[in-house]
Amino acid sequence: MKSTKIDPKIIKKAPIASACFMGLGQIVYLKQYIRGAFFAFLEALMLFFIVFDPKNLSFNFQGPVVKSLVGLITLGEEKRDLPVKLRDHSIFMMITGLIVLIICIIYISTYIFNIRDAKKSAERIVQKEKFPSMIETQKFLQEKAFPYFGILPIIILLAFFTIVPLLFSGLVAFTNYSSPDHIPPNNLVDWVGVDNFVTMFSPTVGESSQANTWFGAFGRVAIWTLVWAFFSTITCYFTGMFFSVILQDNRVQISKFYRIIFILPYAIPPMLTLFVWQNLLNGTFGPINRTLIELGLITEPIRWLTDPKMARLTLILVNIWIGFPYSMILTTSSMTAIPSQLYEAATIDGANKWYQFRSITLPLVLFQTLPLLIMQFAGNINNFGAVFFLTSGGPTLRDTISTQAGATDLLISWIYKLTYNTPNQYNLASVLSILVFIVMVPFAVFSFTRTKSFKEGEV
Amino acid sequence: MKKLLAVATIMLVIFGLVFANGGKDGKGATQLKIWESEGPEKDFMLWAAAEFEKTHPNVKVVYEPVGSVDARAKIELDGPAGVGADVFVAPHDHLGALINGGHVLENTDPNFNATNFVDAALIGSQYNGVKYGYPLAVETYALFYNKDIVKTPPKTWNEVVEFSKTWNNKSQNKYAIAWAVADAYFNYIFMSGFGAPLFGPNGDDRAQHNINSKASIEGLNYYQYLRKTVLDIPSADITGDFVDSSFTEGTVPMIITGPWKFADFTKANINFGVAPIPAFPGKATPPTSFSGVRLAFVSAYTDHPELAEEFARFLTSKDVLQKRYEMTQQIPPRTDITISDPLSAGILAQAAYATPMPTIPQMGTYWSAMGAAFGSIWDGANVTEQLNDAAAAMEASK
Amino acid sequence: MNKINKNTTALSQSTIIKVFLNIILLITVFIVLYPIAFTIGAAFTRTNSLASTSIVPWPKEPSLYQFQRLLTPSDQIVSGTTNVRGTNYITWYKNTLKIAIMNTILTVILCTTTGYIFSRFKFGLKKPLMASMIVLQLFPSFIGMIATYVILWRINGLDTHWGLVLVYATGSIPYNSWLMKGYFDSMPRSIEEAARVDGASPLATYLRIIVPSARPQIVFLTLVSFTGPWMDFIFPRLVLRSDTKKTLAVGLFELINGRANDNFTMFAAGALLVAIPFAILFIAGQKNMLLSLAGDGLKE
Repeated sequence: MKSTKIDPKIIKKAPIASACFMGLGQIVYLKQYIRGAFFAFLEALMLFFIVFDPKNLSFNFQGPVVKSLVGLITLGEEKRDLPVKLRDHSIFMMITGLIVLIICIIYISTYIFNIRDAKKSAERIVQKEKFPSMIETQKFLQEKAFPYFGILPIIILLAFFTIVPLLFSGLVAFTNYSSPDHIPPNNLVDWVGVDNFVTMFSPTVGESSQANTWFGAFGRVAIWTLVWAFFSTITCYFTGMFFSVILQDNRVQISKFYRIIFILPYAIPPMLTLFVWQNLLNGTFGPINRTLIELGLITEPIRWLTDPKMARLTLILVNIWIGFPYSMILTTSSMTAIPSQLYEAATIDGANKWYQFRSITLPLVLFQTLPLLIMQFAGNINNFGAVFFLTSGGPTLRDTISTQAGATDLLISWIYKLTYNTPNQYNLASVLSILVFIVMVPFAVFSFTRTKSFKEGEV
Repeated sequence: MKKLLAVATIMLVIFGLVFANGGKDGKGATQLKIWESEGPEKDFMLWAAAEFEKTHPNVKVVYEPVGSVDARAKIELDGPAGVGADVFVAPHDHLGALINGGHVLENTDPNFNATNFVDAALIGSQYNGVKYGYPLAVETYALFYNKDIVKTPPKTWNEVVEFSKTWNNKSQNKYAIAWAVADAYFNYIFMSGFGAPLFGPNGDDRAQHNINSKASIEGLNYYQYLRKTVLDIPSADITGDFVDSSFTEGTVPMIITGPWKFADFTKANINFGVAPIPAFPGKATPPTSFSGVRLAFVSAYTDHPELAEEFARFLTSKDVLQKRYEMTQQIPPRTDITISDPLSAGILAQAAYATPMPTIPQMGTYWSAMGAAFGSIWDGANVTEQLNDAAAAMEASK
Repeated sequence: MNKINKNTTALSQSTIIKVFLNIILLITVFIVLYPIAFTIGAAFTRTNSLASTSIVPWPKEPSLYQFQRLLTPSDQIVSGTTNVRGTNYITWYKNTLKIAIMNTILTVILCTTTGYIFSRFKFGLKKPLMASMIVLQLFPSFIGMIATYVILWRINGLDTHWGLVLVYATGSIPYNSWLMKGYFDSMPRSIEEAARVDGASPLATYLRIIVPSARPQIVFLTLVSFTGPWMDFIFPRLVLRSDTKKTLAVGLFELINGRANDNFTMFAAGALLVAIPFAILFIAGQKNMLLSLAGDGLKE
């Protein structure tokens, strides 16, 4: 290409043109015809969907994009005269509105990108004093585009399958979406502001200042969730470590045999084993109590799953059975990474095995696995399976009648009950979901940012 | 280049997909989608579908296994999405929720009347005076007794208590009678049997729930008394599974359960009979149990309402229901079909005293609130307190 | 004399500890195996009831009846009975296998690429992006499933397997990408740089050099994404409908969910048939898991 004098003003003009209409700057000033055409096409598409109304086949600014966003705000109108099939479905409207909102955000990001791209390209062209050739452009794009092109699929997937459901879940907390009176499409769902939060969190209710059962249940369940997460994580971890230490000890033969057996509780699906445990622990009929009574060790059956406090303890104990194999493997692998010279040096210095364990093994292993431990804690807060299949959240307490929350329910299993059992109370379940999320975020951020992976983030 | 292509294609695709609904293929035969539980009910449905197709060559009936208790939740999402069934089977106590959500169409069949159908079927499919479902079967629970141990079934609970004095042996886990004591389905007899019908005499008045009425308190006190005398086990321990296995093993000669257990007990070679539930002290007749009517509904989202209704009516015709009874052993709701096997006759005897479960949407709250209350009361909680709590929960539900 | 005494005391002390340890181990083996024995025993019971009241975890008349019921296709009568139909268990198994494989392929492709890009390239918003990916995953997903349902509906993904896979893979993206990134961070860049100097494009470098050398971690990722979807039933219940599309978890769960669904022993048999390959996989893969988790530890 013949080098003609490049007008340095294109650094200002191109972005402005691209700001007016996507791709304009690229086409007019930068000779990036294909790129510009694509941007322009995108904007045309968006404008088309804003302006064109397919129902009435006219250009009246009632396009699908506009309708969906409006629907998100109004959640539909009563249309009693229409058959049920054709009425406004509040929840579908909310979700569609969210989808379109995300598309709009993506679109706006693309728009901004288009402007910046125009500016950067203009700067490059002016600097190099010529317009790049096809080959140069291609090569340049391959270098720069690879990361963006690689990330793009997951951004799209995350946007639609993670962010939209999350936003929807959160928004439901501000509606009255519940059974029996607010199930679409026969009924509308309305925005109710912070009413649900008041229902859940105000300590008293009514003029007589009666204690709010929801708040009482919430307090109880939240405290138990945290207690459970703490104890379940610690007990599994140290039990796993205990066995890993024992099996490493070369005074024990055939450790491989033990390892194989010990991994079984982890390998067999908990849905099944917890169910069997439930039957084994049955206070009256279960083999465990019957054996203990037969052996004369106890006279009264132990109320494993029927007494609220005992049930919580049982849950933690049974969870050790399920969870220790994983911790065992974790600590074993961590221990094998410790160089043996440390132990040799310690032995020479006269330290015995217990001392070695306390000062070498324990600190090093703890240090290495601490982030994983914290993640496990956070994970146990949401450990739905353990509770659901062993106790179903029971035994029942007084406020179970009105709130469905049992003595061993975690927040997550309570959310499940409110969502899937009649009467469905999606709105309150959503309030709890938001709460769980808020609690979990600090843990995740903490452990995540502490890891080397994150700190070494820069190239 | 690639990046732009990617962005553009994706935006195109997204726009296109979001605003294009799934097209239904209307080519060729019309398709009717049916939902019904698995098991013998499914076999019957497949047979009925084949018969229907014989007289309607342009129709293809497609069966999808959806448990009858799951259909309501599924139609809530699948219906508006256009992928729901045209005809689905659900228990009649879901009627209120189905109507509230607007998911079902009326039953306008003129032949659906008292001449042809039993009362329970008519009442169970009605809501606010309008009929909605097409009844396929009626069932209730009754007393199952082990004939080798209990020669004649007891007529009153006093007899049961007497029997338990000699039979019960805690260390051998022998009890005179057992049932799922935390299940609000069976325990309704303790409300109804003492004069506290749920939601009033017609089962449709949400203000008259009777949960904490005087009669109900009396009934629940008797229920608590039974724990001490006849079945002293914590409620959470008496799972349906243990009730069944105790019956099979012969340690508990009487249980309260329903006709779905016929096959399993027969297979276990137990010599058992079915009789009405014993009467409470001071009452002359067996208590009112909940009966369930199995209804086929026409979905409000169907594209072929007339065809769907025709199929539903076909399902309730005499010959078809007769065949259904033979295949499923479930009691047909028609007055012109005779029941011959003794087990079903026992259920039918109790059914004479049964009332269909109420259908109003607040029924959902009955299950969760009273379910919890029954368990706690069985374990010794204060009856009045628990019932007041349950009543409060019922009144708060909206 | 003293020396001999000291040696013998040391010896007997060591023996005592050895015996003590072995006793603990044997007790633990018993505690681990007892419920498992019941599980196995239940699967071989003829009647429906799982709740055996006997102390011995073995049925009085062991029978393969439940397995027969499971493995007979649902349109045939089980041999030896007159009216009991089989189930679509084999189809469910195949479906779940298919979903697991599809999920593994998609997850490995997506997460390896993403992890690599996060590791090697620098671009704005990278740190917030990574942090928010992890954080977003923590929101309890039960209500969000309704939204996911609608999205799948809009793209015709309901009652399909690929729809399910899309959701599973997306769910595992944040954590797995972060895992892969950690691994790539520890890989020296010299090989890549050499390849680039030789003129290879980034894409070619990635495919031909990076991916093969990340094999151990990819194997670990494969194991985890493969075993993930087997026992999840909540979401597939919402999205799948036809019996021929169901996954194992859904099919098994519906055997025991509800008053009249009392097929507990068939459920045990079905779950056992899943547990066996799982157990074998885990036992065989224990070594690999150890190595890769150790690798993780080293990298920290």
